Amino acid sequence: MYDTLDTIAAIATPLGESGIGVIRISGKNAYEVGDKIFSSKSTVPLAKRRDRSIQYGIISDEAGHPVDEVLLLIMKGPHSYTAEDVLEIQCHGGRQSLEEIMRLVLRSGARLAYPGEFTQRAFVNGRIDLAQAEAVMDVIQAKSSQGLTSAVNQLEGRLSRVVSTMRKSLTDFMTRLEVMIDYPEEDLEDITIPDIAGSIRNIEGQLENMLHASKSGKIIRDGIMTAIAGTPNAGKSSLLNRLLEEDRAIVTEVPGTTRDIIEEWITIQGVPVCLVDTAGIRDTDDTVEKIGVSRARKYMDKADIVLIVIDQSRPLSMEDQNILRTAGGKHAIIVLNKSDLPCKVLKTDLASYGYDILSVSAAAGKGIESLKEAILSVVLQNGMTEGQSALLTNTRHIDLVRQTRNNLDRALHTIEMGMPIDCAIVDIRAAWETLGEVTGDTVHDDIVEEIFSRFCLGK
Amino acid sequence: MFVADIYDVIVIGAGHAGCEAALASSRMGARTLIATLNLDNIALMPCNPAVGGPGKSHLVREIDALGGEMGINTDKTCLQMRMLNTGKGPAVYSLRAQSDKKMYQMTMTKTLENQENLDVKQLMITELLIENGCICGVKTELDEIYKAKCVVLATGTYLKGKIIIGECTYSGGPIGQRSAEVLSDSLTAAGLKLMRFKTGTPARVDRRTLRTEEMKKQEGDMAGHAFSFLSERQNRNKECCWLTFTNEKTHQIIRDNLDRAPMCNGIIHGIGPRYCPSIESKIVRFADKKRHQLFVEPEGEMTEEMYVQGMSTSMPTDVQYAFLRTIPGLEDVKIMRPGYAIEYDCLDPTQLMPSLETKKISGLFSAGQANGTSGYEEAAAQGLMAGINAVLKLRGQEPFILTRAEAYIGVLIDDLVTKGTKEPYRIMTSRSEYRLILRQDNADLRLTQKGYDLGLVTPERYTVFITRRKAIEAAVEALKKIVITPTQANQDKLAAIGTAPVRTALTAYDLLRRNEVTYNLLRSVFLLDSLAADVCEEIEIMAKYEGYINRQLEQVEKMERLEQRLMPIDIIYADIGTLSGEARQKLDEIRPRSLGQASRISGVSPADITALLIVLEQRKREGKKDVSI
Repeated sequence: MYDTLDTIAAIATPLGESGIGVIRISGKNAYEVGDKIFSSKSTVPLAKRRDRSIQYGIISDEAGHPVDEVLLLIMKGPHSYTAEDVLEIQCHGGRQSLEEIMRLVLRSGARLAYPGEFTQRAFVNGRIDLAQAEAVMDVIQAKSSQGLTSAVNQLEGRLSRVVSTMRKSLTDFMTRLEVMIDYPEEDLEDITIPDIAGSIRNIEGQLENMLHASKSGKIIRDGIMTAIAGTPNAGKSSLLNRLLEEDRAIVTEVPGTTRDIIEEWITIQGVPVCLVDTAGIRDTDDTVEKIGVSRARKYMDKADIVLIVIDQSRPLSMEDQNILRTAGGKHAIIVLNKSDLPCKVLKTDLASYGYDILSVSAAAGKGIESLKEAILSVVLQNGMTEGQSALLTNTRHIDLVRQTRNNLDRALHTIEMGMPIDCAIVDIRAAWETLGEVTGDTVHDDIVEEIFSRFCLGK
Repeated sequence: MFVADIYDVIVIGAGHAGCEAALASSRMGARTLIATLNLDNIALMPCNPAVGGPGKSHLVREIDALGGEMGINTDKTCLQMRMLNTGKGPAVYSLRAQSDKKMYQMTMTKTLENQENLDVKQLMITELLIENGCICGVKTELDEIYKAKCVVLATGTYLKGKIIIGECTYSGGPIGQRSAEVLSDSLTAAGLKLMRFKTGTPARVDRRTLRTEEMKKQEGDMAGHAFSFLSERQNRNKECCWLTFTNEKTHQIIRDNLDRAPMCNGIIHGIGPRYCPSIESKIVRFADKKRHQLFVEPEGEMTEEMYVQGMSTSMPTDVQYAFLRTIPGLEDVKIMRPGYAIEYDCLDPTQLMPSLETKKISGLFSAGQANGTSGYEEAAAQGLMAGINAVLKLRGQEPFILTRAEAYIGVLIDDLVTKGTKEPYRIMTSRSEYRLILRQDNADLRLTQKGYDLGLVTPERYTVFITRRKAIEAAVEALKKIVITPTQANQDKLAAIGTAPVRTALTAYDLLRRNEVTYNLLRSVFLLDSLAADVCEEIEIMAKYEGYINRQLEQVEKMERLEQRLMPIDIIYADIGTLSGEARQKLDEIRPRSLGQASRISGVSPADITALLIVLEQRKREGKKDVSI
């Protein structure tokens, strides 16, 4: 059940694509949260500033480093959407800054809103009528029963397996503690304090790894970084446009037209994919182009997948082979473009690189769907989501995993201070419950069930 | 039709639930009848001769704090006491007493017989009298009628009780008692759903046939203990227990005879508790365990009977003899009464409201093993609550309901009426979310004021409580006033009691937070009053665990908000389209009292709770005056 007295926050704009991003915070501590992360010329607390005013300033992180320059919109209750104090942060729309600000907001005392929660509050506080509220409820209900797209499902399935395993060890361990307490006279192996600390550290370490990976910005959260590489005029920009189905890059017949790096977002079966059109890679004397080329190589290094675009209407050039070698070690797909023209590239020459080969015609729009599928299958099958790096896909999960880690950290601290075990269990149990929220199965009775199934007890 | 008498409240059964129910009701001023099958067996302990243990001791303290009898009766009649779990933190400290069974019964009988407003009678009740959905009395096997506006069922394991020992089965209650063969049918006819549960006990053996030198002696604590807040804390060591273990030979005999075990060959149908399985179940379910521990415990000072705790069984007596005699210390053992299993009818507790009144029949309450629980303490706790609520019902007052954050009694009853139970239910500390708050040491601070307001707590108990509370408050205040500055003299004093020096000025209360510092240590070097042991204990727990306790209090505060939103009595869940199908069905079945209770029903999701919240809000706007359950 959602607590209606908490201060809640959520990103209100779609991720990744818009020019600006909006984070909405609602609840009695909204301005307090804002004061912790926002600074401007004025030092007046936000709560004291004028209703419906716009404030300009900087959001900074814990270390005081600026994250983004923002506009704050102050809408005091009851004259706001939720009829509570509302603060809207308008920042730059990039995923990175939006997520970072969201992280800071959650750290400063707000909790992530559940789907439909702003509307729920609007209703409960008398701002909207029942018909509207019921429409929202329908959406919430639909969401919980609606299946996600298959690709996202696969990843969430993995997250749920990993979390379930962790939770299983936590359950195991809690059961051993609880049985010691509820059956003090049974002939059971006692767990020692170092045992307990060791188990906690172990699980904490796994959570830490997940968080760390999610911080370095991985696949699903930040999208699959896909670099489109190839010699000038191999058709990289046309391919990008085809994938986007709209003209953004400039396409001309002059080699080297694309000098800047262009980032665009698409989603393939629900998985966000960041497409980076690199400048044509070739040796060049043009200074501007030189910069573009070196950045292109960097992007190739950073990318999760490289699409190596080769103009198949020309024989394989030295430059093509250079690029193929540069991509060595990366997950790559060779895209033979201009499949509408006669093929002059020998596929046997390409086979040695060991990449999937696909023929497309960017100009005619042929083979584009197959290419999208190929990108996705490389991600899902080739361990792109290596380790647990890609598992934490959304802010809610990251938030829960962080809370779990903090709970365990506190439990460990309790034990190290020499406090008795019933104090430590407060936090261990909280960790167990929080972790259960990731997979949606926090059931209190689990522990009691476990006790009886595992231990032989009684008169 | 012979109307023998008219009462306010009739309690059926004089076990641990019945006794507390009858005492509570009569002490609150209601004219009360307690009916038992056998006047010689009031407050019978048919199973182990012990009271307390984890979770259970918490219940006993709570019963006592509210003005119940179990704690006082245990203190008067015990053979030893031990505090368990002392190394695991104050929330789970658990007192346990070995009881003198006969003394326990006689003392309780005397209390009942001398209670004003209470009649004690030997009656076999055969029928509930119901008019227009309301209880109006009971009928006995001799066709007498006793009228009452409220009836409390506290029938224990007596409804269609069936004893099973090996191939032999017969109708009856525990240890040679009659069973109530007809009353069940009256319950079924009234539309109540019954379940069939099973429990069991071990053999009682002759003390003179034990080789005690082969076993380990278990004595009670030398330190003074007491269950009741009214009793002196004293050393109660009169008798000891004996610890020994089964072995491979024991297990082999049981395995060889499993085809004769009623548990395994289909004679027993009832569902038994997993937490107190028979020895044959233990051998089957935990086949790799090399040995099982057992305690041989005295049943009383006036008898040589000893209880073999840990060896509950319904095997034929030749098998019982054979396996007992493989155990060190029991080689020559003589059985005085064999172990047996008992099957009985009980109510599915989801048919009850949190007041323990049945939803179907107004004025009919139910408590104890009749509600699918197990244990004397669980029974007594429910009995007390049913007795209180029967009287409140008569007075037309709101029911007395304890939340999960207020008492283990609240946890117990909420679990029963919200989730039901598929096996005999036992309280455990791990069933509570707020263990650090629900300690046994602070049961009086949590509950005695409530008991006083109900009229259950005597002036004597109230004075003791007020005195203790004042002493605690005064001691904390005094400690907070004493400031210890980092002078050499002070640092020397701190060194003398083995704690680190202070860097800045601290209060004595702050110092008490340190693990190694106790009140009496502080008193040995600073000018402090001498305090009673229980007051020291309380302030030490308050200081040392403050941070943790406060965190739990925050959780409680969140939960309470949902508990305070009561569900209207006329709400029709089937009509709420935004609820999931399962939620509609479950909510209709349980009919929760509050939104908080609704949220704990399995199959009710957070989205369903949001939907309910919206419905509640809608009703409020339509200006409906809601009446809750």
